[in-house]
Amino acid sequence: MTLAEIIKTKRDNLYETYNNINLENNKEKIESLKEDINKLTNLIEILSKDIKNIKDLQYQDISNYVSIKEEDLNNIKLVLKAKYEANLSVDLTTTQLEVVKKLIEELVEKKDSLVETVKKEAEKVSKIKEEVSFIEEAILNLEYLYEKVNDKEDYSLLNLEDFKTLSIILEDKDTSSKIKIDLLSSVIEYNENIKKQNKKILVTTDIEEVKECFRSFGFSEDMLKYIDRNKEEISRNIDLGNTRDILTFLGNNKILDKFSKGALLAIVLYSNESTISKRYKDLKERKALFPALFEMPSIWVNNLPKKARARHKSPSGNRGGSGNNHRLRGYANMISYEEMLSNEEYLTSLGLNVSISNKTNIKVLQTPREKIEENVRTYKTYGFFNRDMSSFPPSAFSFSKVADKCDRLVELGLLHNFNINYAVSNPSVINCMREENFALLYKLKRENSIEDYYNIIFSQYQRYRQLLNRCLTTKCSKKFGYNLGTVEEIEAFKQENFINQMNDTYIPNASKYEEIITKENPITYQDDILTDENIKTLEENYRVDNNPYQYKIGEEIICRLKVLRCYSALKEKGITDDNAFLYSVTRGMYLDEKTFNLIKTSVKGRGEYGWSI
Amino acid sequence: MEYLTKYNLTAEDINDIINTIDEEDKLELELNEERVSSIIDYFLSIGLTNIKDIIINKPNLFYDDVNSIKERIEKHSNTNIIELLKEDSINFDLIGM
Repeated sequence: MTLAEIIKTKRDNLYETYNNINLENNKEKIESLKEDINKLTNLIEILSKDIKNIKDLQYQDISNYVSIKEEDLNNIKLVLKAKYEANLSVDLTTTQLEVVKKLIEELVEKKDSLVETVKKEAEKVSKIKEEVSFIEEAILNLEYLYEKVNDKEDYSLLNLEDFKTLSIILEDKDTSSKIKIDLLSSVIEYNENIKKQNKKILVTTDIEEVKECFRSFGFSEDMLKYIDRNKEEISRNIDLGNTRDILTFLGNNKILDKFSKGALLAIVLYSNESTISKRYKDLKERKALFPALFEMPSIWVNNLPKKARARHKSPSGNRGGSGNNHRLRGYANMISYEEMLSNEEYLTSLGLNVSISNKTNIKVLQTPREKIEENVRTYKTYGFFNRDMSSFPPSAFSFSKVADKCDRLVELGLLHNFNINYAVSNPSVINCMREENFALLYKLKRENSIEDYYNIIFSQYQRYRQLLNRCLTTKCSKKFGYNLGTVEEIEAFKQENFINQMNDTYIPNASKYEEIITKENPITYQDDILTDENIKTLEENYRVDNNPYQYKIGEEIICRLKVLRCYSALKEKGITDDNAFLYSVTRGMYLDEKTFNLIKTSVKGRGEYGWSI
Repeated sequence: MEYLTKYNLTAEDINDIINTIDEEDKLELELNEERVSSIIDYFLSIGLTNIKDIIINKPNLFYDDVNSIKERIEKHSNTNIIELLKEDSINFDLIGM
């Protein structure tokens, strides 16, 4: 076996172990035990409070936990009902009192024993989680090493980090001594080759053989051309035996022609028959073999969750990438099926019309969960959830820097200004508005009355509904009398019309604050920020009535949530000075000198903090 | 993505697209020429000529197959949706796409 083959085999074995680990059963068991404990706690509390409560006790509620006979309980209940409901002069006998005492003791004992069991189960879960994390790390290290030894442009020798990765194989009890010896000799051979020739001897497959293999399964010229277009990656990574196994399996199950070309090639390169047959069986059983899934190779390939990949620090820097030599690999590794399902469930629970069977949703389903959750928090905070969410475009949950864009949309009167709520009905504007057009809008809004401004920026279809002039979501500003086509033109426009208040000369330390806010990416704020003196000044003097999203200084709208979330985040870091406050107020705005000075004097309480202009 | 030139997109347009959309979108467009082309052909057939804007503003549409897109647009044929889409690709939002 070659070095690459040994690494790949170990990685595949680890994937198999990984896929067989099931934490769900343990978690379910813990949840069910916790329910029992809660039930017992309630019972103990009720019964200990007053003995008369036993009269309402149902035998089936305690039969699983205690040894008391049903008949004895019924007799006790009878006496208690006679005493407390019919006011008869009867009482429990000493024996019955003993039974009650024993009943409570047994309930307490049972509860203690369940608590102990939960503790042990939780320890098991935590051990499994540790194992999962160890395997994820090992898989990723092996994947990176596999790429390194298979990359014809990487001439670096195997180093200490790589040896650490290889120790995963050397320390494995189940790997035979022969393979371990093969591994060691192939490592020596690999490094010697690189040292001597400064080039690699890579095992590649003749692309004609690959084409012949596909031809024998009935593929047409189109597919062969496709193979040619990706020949470098294919010839370095394909295993023809594995390819035949996969194509035979897919053919036998009559699904071979369902796959798109790119998906099929990514699968034969980066998956194996066992993974594919397992996934196929699972999807078939759940009646979930949607056509869309045949165009998503990552469904049919072993993939770790995105968060595991994000956690992982590659020992040897940047590998992979999106160049032609790795693009099928990138396609194959996009996201795990389980993560997509979990995203689908989460988004559906929010009232969104999302399904894995609908391919326009794939982009959002492939988005890391943390990002989706962050965007949900943002859209909720900025008032987007007050609409019918079933027609909300799900792709909006895959956007980046949503809060920052919403701040600007508020300030430009496109979100929560009078009855104008363009961004809520067209959330894609968050992603589509070009940076230079944001700048242009700040200028247009400042130079026109609000009515004229809306007349200018909304299209001729305004009489039906609010629609932004398409110039504002494309690279076209000539309609407004500006030429913002090239980078140079845009830069010149910005320099001519705006200051850069994020430059430390306008606001001392602004760049430092910007670094913090970019890193922290706050979405909401701590309530105590509202008691801050600076904020109180804004709230009292500039808060717009019945509009939780705006402050207004002159005609300038300042996004209230922006100020609160940024200033609150800085305050959390112990920064509360006036500069931080002014930074929070003006962050992200395109300002001219005059407007900046107006805002500065206004928020500083007319210079009483010692500011000078 | 050179195949986009057959839709009169210039090298500059393609560069603009590459610099705007993310890695996942790029892969989807690069590796699925047939599907993407069939969607563009459909858009052109209904008079949507702002192909570059649609790709930049709504890359998620090109993950779908043409029949499903057609179906979803035709569902709103009693409205002025085509006119709105011609006006701005962002208006795909109005039909939840």
